[in-house]
Amino acid sequence: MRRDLVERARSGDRGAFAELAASSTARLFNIAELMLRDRYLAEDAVQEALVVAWRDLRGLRNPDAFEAWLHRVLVRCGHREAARERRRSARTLALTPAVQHPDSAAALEDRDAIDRAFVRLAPEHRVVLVLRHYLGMTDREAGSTLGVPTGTIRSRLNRAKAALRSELEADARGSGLAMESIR
Amino acid sequence: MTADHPLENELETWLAHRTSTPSPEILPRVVARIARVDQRPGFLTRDRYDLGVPRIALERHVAAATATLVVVLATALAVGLGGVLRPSSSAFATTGGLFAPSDSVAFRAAVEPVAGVPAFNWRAGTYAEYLGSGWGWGAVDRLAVAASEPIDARGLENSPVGSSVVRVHIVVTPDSFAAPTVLGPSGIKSIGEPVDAVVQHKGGWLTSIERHAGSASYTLTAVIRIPDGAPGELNEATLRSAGTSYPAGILDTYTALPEGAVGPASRAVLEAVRAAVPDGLDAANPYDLARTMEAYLADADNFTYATDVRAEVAGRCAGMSTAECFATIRRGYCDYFATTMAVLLRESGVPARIAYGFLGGDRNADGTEVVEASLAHWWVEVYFPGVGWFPFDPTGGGVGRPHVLPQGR
Repeated sequence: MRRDLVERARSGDRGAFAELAASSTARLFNIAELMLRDRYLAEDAVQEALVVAWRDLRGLRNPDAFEAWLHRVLVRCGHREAARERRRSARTLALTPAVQHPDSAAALEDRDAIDRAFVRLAPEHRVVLVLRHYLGMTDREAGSTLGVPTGTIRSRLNRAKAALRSELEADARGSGLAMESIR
Repeated sequence: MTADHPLENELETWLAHRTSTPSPEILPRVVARIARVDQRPGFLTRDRYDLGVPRIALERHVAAATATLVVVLATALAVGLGGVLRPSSSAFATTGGLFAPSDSVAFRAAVEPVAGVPAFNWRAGTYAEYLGSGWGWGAVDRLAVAASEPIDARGLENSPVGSSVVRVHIVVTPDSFAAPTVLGPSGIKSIGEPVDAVVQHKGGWLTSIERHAGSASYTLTAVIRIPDGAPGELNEATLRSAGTSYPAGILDTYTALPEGAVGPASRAVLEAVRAAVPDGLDAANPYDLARTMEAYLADADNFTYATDVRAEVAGRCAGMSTAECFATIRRGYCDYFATTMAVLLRESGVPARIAYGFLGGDRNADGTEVVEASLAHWWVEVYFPGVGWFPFDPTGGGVGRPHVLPQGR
């Protein structure tokens, strides 16, 4: 079904593409918001990514790879939005409070802590965590998406995790939470 | 995910469960934009691809890349997902300093082999509104036109006058030009399938014709002017004597210029053109002015054809309109030549617009024609009362193809 939509969209069927876009928007937005920490920038990035995707879809050889390809397009557009925003101003960005589906109060607290810690990470650290741990990309795929060597992804990932850990520790010290669950 | 990695475990759980709802406006905006995004041939640019779109896409889908980047303005729209997409929106293209077409085939055509039918440009649409850094459709309406129904646009849009016209059937088969835009000579009469005619909201002037879907072949019927030397043939004298009794409203739309469109350098070019009008002709006559300007701009002594002027634009054109920029750096490609001519004509009170599409390919004896993406082109159309829109092509470097007319009396 999806493959069929991709093939139709690739041959210029705007309706098919609109269906694909409709089923991807929430996920793309989630990724973009994680990357950019700003709802409006994220929406811009999603729009831009979908328009670019429509334009370049004919170049996608394997319709089954549509999703991964679309994510790569989004990450690049997100980068661009972030760069544009950095140039524009140094205004503070705030992550929109996310709707959580916790399975327990303890988990809720943990996730709130991650939420707070994640927001404080540097953009390149957030991106690499999203690519690896949300989109499930390999180091190599993440490297090709961001245009950096695989080794850079690995070291960035290590630094990102270390930063996340230290943010969580700082958060825990502040709130008196036990550290076992995050070590 | 293992117990050895509680942090990753937590992170992945958090990421997987974290949801947040995007604005419901994203999708309609995207749909409106994609409906517009391929309005002109060559909306893709190398610049654009530097954005980081995968290389594979770049190699295979630089369809008819010209220098411009179509940015799209979407206004109100009504979308039925998976159903009919009818955005009411407007396209525009900005000129970005680089013309980098691919070597792909944009489309193929078969022109009914009627004796005397000349090579012609394949027009995709027209821009009415000069934006300083590019051109836009302006406010447009969409009119549904049934298969084979005459496209009845205003102002002799598609009815070449004179006795020497012929009606031909054409089949167009898109290749890398996969937009829903109908390509054809300027005198399209009807399309063999239902289409939307995009017309100016004010005045109804033809802007573009869009198919509803698909990139399969389509057929059209067009009226084409034949240079046969017959007494009724359109000639220079007719255009020269067309006068300036323009139909109501045309001046409002087609002589409008934004503030700053014409600066000192472009004003100097206009003065030089006026001074170059040959003895015996009249710089105040729209036809004489346009013909002289066409030749002046195309003259290599005055302007140089160059496909990459990004460095000059970046270095010398800060804050300038494209016309003023071109008059300053004196280098550029079709977008610059055509823009400057249209702007300077408007400045002189002559209604002019940009036509975008493709130069004609080499046509075989059987009427078949292959049009390469590299033939993507902009030219100028000037309105003459009683005649309609007539093409001029001021692009230099041997690229432009001025439409030659017999003198007449």
